[in-house]
Amino acid sequence: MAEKVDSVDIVSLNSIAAGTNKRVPRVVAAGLGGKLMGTKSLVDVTAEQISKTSLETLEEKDRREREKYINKAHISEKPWTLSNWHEHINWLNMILVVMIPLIGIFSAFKHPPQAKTMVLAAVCYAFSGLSITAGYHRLYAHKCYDACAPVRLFFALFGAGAIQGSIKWWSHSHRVHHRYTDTPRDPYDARRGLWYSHMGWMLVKANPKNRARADISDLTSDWVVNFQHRHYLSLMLFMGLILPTLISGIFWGDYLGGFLYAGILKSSFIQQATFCVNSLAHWIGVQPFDDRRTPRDHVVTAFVTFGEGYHNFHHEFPSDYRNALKWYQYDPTKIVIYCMSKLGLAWNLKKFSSNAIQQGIIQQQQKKLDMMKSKLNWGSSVDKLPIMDREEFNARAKKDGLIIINDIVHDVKGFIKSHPGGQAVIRASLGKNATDAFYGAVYAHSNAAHNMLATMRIAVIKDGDGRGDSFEIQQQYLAKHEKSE
Amino acid sequence: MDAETNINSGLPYNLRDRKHRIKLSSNGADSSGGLRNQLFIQASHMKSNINHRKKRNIIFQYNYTNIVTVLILPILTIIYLAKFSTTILPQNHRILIFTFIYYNFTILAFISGYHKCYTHNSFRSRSVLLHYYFAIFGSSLGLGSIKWWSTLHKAHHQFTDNTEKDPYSIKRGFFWAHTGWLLVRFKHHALSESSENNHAERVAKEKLDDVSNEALYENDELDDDNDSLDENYDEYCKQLIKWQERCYLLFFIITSVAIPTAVTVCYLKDTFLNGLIYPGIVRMILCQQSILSTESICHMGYFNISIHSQPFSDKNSSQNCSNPLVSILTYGQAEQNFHHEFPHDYRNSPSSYSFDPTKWFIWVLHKFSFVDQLCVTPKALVMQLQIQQQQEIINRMKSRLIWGTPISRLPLIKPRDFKKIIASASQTGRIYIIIQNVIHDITPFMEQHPGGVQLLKASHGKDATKAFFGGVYGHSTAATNLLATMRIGLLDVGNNEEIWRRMVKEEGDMDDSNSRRENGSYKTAEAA
Repeated sequence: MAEKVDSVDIVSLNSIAAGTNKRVPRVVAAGLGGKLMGTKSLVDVTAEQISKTSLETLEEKDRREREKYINKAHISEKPWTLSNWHEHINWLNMILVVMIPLIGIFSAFKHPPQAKTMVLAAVCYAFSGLSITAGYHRLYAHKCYDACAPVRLFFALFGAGAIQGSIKWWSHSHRVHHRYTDTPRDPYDARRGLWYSHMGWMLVKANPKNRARADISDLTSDWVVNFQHRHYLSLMLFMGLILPTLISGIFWGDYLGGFLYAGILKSSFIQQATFCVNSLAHWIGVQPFDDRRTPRDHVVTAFVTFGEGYHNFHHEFPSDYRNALKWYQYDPTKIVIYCMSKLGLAWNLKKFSSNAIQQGIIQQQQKKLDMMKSKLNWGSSVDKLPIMDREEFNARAKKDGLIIINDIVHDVKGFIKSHPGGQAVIRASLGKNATDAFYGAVYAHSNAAHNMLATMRIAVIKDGDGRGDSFEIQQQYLAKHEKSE
Repeated sequence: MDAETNINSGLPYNLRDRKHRIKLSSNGADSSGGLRNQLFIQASHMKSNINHRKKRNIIFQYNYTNIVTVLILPILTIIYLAKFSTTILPQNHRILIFTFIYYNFTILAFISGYHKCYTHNSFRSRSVLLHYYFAIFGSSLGLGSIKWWSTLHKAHHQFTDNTEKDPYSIKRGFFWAHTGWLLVRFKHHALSESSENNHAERVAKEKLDDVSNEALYENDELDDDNDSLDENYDEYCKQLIKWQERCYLLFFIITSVAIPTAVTVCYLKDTFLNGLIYPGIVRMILCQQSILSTESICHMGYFNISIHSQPFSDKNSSQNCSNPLVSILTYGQAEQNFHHEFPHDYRNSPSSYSFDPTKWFIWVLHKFSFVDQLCVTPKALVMQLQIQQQQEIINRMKSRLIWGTPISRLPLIKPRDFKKIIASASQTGRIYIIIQNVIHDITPFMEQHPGGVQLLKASHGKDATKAFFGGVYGHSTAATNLLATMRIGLLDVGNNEEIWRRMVKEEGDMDDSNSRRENGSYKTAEAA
């Protein structure tokens, strides 16, 4: 048996997965925006480094990383002090995600909204929100379906208006999140707490030792993505702030209201909704598919996030265009995608087979059931019982209250008084083989009775054929007698 | 050994077998004489009576007492209330209050007496007064005597859903299970058989009693002082039930007519007719409907709004109706699935918060030590049954899904042959990947792979075990399941032991019922 099939080269596979095996044309964002958003230090890592570390266990890796950074600590590893706190903070994100919304909210108190402006804000909110969920997330990050150029352009423009970064950056970090869920490489690692996974991860500078990459070559070959990335800052300002301001200003003269409500507040609401997917969806809810990782399903998260709340399903079946399976679960994004496919705007909708989905559900239920089972006393298994010979049984039977059922010796002493069928029947059977009587000659016992009986096992009779599933044997016994009748 | 065979022959299983029965009863007669012989004669007499009756007039097939109490009286009352009475509800509020109190008073006597105490033996009444209360006020519902009702009810529990033997089998329709069964006298062999059953059981039991009396003297170590008391109790109950059967109609008239009218006329200062109608007959109708709807509504699947309607067993039609309206209608007896699995339990639901007045009543009686030996199912037992039922549902669902070809049935392919297959596959564009020595044909899944096609293409024809299990990406359980459905062959690398182990592990939990047998065969195969 010298022959062997080659193993795959993990390093080269990792380089494929990280997209470092080929020369990716670098798309540089134009002007100041590109410099500010630069995530260059985060993605600057080679495939070899990743392969080397991802084959080790997490503990080992963490230990090694700790040793490596023992002398030259990254800023994220230093404690927060009065002198260095400003170095910890990612100021661009701080301004975009915290300060501008705060200013917006405080100004909003002084400027009550007009009805028309609120409608505009709601429309902008819906468009941008859907662009994030249906566009950024399901189309670009997961390739759940293909869409025509106008739809992609719509997603790119209104997605930019949500002020959450370019498609390229967003999808990349999301793919990394799926690839390394609940590990230090996960950019929004849910194990580090609700706050960190919600906003903390983008407000502080990330540790470069946890850098990771995912292949986005399919994105960079899309002209819409490249266009959006190149002109992101101007697109963001125009779509997110200037356009709503102009619309409400020109049509009903409410410049400030449009800027505040349809611009700043809308964007910050969408930001918070998206953060909720990273935080809430890993925090509250149930895990019907797999409980080894943190993602959870919850209807509240779904309502907040345009239907992205069924996150446990999503992490198990990431390239499924749906997030909610049942008709009553809230997933407007799914409906939008489905309608687009009916209109011919989208095609190639990916769906996992219901077989695979059912398997996941069943396995998880089985797991829960096994856990509950292990908490109960099911009696000792037949293999582990000692063997008792007839003489010993006869000698002890009357004194200790022993009964043979199905070649297994049961100690029923403590049960005699609480037997529903009366004490007499049990007393009469002490020291005897009561198999037939138990199985139906006197009374066909219920499954519960069989369970109870199993807890009283003490030994197997010598040369007996004791089997554990006494209820099944009883069913066979009854069926046999039914037939003979 | 001698005693063992003795017992087995003394306990009849197959009662229809005439010869067997005769032999049995003669056996019993031989061993302990008089009374038993008498009983047997009585039973055979009954049977011939029934056979005789079958041939007689059609008039005798109806149960006229029940027709009067369940059909005629209610209809007359409703007609009276609708046509001749000025108002449907009485103007005197005190009579309503009295009706409500008397309703609770009588239905509690029926459920805790007829049902829990005499039929299911859920507890023992230590007070004679309580026995009289159960027997006398239980008959005010007009649902027959204790003996008649509990015989049928026992048959219902033993042969649930059997169209022949279950007196109120739901399979004969809603109306039959609700009222129909009351109107017809049991010419079916259900009654005859259950009475025979009773007889045979009695014979068997007495025989057992003899043996156990002997046994009692033998094992003093196990002894306790309750035994003589218990026997007295059984005897007392038997006498009481006989007495109640004889006086049933009298009791019915006293409790449904005399007491309500007397109270109404004397204390509430109302008319005799109002007393007869409201606390008498309207109350009786309500009680009857409460009792009867447990056997009809709670056995029909689609009346139910809960999700897990049969948490304990779905082998019979009994349902747990968690609908609060049904719960009130049936006076707290809506959880029939629990009751059918644990009939001896004095409660009707394992939860302590459920609406179950009978349970509260018995519990209070117990606290005042009027009753003892309450039968309570241990929590663990309830849990076990629930788990087993869930396991059964899961197994059923499992068997409906495709789990991929089991390893034991995959063809063995030598690495040399596999290389040839790869060489030919490069023209057809198919992709084969080995994971844990199993060859998978990934082609249909290629486009769906969330990590992209590139990775699959790069692993074509290679062993990607490490990459699959964390080298590149630690795949989810769902991914492992999907992978299993794409199996096409097993690579013959000579490391059989590991493959055996995996096989046992996988196919063992794939199908629990077969696991033992299959495991056994594996063991032998391994040994060979």
